[in-house]
Amino acid sequence: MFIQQNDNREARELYDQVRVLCWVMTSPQNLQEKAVHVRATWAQRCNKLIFISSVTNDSFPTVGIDVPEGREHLTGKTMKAFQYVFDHHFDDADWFMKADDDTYIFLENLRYFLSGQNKDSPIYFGHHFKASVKQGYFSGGAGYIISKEALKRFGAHGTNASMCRQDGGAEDAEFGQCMQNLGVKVGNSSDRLGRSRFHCFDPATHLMGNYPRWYHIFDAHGGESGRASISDYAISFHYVPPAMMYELEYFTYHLRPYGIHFGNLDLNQEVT
Amino acid sequence: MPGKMQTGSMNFVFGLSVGICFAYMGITYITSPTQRGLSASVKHMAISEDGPRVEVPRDSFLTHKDLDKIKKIIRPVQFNDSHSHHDNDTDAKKLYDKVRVLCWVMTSPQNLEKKAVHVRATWAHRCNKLIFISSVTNDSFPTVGIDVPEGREHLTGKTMKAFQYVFDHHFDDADWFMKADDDTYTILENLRYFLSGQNKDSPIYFGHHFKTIVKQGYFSGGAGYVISKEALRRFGAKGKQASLCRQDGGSEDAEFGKCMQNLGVKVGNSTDRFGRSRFHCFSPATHLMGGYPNWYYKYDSRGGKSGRKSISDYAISFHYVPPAMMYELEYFTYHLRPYGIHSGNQDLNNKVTLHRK
Repeated sequence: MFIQQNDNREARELYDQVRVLCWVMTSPQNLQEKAVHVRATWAQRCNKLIFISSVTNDSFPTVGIDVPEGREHLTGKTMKAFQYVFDHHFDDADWFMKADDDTYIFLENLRYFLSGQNKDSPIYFGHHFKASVKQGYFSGGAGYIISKEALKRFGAHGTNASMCRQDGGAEDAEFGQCMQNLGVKVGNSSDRLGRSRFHCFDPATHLMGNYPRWYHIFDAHGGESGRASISDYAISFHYVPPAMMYELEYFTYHLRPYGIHFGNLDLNQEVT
Repeated sequence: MPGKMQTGSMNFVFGLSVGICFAYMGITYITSPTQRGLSASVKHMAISEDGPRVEVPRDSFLTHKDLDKIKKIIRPVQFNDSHSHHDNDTDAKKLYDKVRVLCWVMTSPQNLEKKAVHVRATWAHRCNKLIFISSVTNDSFPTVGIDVPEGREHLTGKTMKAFQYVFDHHFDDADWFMKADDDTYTILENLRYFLSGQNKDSPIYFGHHFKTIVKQGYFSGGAGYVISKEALRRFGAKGKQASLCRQDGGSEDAEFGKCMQNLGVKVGNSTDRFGRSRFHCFSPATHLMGGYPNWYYKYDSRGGKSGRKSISDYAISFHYVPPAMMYELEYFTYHLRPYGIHSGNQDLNNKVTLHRK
């Protein structure tokens, strides 16, 4: 136990005030390769943490839902996962986040952002893609987070196949279509300086801008890159392999430049 | 007939060029994950202390050979946003004035746009004085050209002449004099904090300690090492004597280490109060995960520890840092922060014992 002269009071207050349930999409073959590192790093900061797999594993633990593994069933997995969360954990949190086992989330920054939002509003947030769905949808890998009201509507109508596709297709686009059909709006999570918080690639890619070509067509913000386009209170990155998760932990919560004291930044936008 | 042969050759060249273009695009796209995230190449890792143990392939660290393969030129990233930070850096600024550090960075003409430009765009602007050493003078970059050919077999010569240059031209410009490579990342605030507890008039130098080859050990060249004013003075006086300091050939860091020992300059201990390391000869992921090559366990004077708890919160350097990672380190160290966690100053320096002259 190392003595770090941190003042964590504000972060701890937000932990109590803005309760976040994280469900992490994983699979039996990824448990020891990926999920274990998620569990060892950022996921311990969620108020409630659930690993969703096709198989129940009591010791890890994972919740097994009745969907086969494979990319063609990711939609089914997501739909059943949110149903499971609604059925068993509706009262445990204010906001409900989906992440992959190669997503890294900065929970303090997520709570800070959400502290300026209304959990009883039908809304959800993430990295915005402007294709496929009229109002756009959020990248699955970057993580997306839905309000309590959004989960309530999903709980009521989510198994209705005419509103929400039950399986097949691209998981994030199908969930986005479902949200739109339920009247849940896409929210804007850019900070006050217009910089992004949720990211569907790893830090180096967003910093350097070596995006694949499809990204410039999908990204609602035109595929900006560079340090000035990324918030200091970034919330998520994707395609983060296990070793990088430990790097991010070390850089964010341990390594410090001596003599520079970070102040609080006022980076949330006014909510209209 | 010449006309037909020319057409045939041109077709061949055209086809070859197109093929190479597609191959390059394909390779760039496919390998860019490796360029962007070093740790993307690590499939399984051994985690010391922090979590479960998994097998790690011995070559999960990157060598210079790997880094040289990264041919793609990366555009320097701009970082001007200090206006939006509400940081209090009074302590860091005070140390900047009190503990003056001259950094000389070893580079070469072929590495200027590939590596040195990213060093210049990131950590190196925090040095009190910055000099890029190359075999060729370049007034616009700028680099100082010293009369030594490029190539690994001349790194010792480059280092000897670089320190001589620094002694001849910049002795009064700093209190401490650091050598770094163009794939070293250094956190200057933490270097100054460490040096603020040391004596610049003592014949001493610091870095990542290897216990072999030299009786008192020596410091890894890639991790960066920093010598005191007194050490530079002694080097300036006697460094050209071949009997004391080998003028070229051999391993640069080991030879410089022998030279220091012959001049009575001691290896100093830079671990923090909890015994954690500050200078590092590999990348952060390697030290965190412990995917060391076999030789490291014979060289490292602290037994090749790894894991987050063996690394100081006030780490000073890492090595084998490619350009993309330099920008990541800048972003993570100076920009990204977790909301609501305010880190105070930690008292991590050891008490200094008096050194004999």
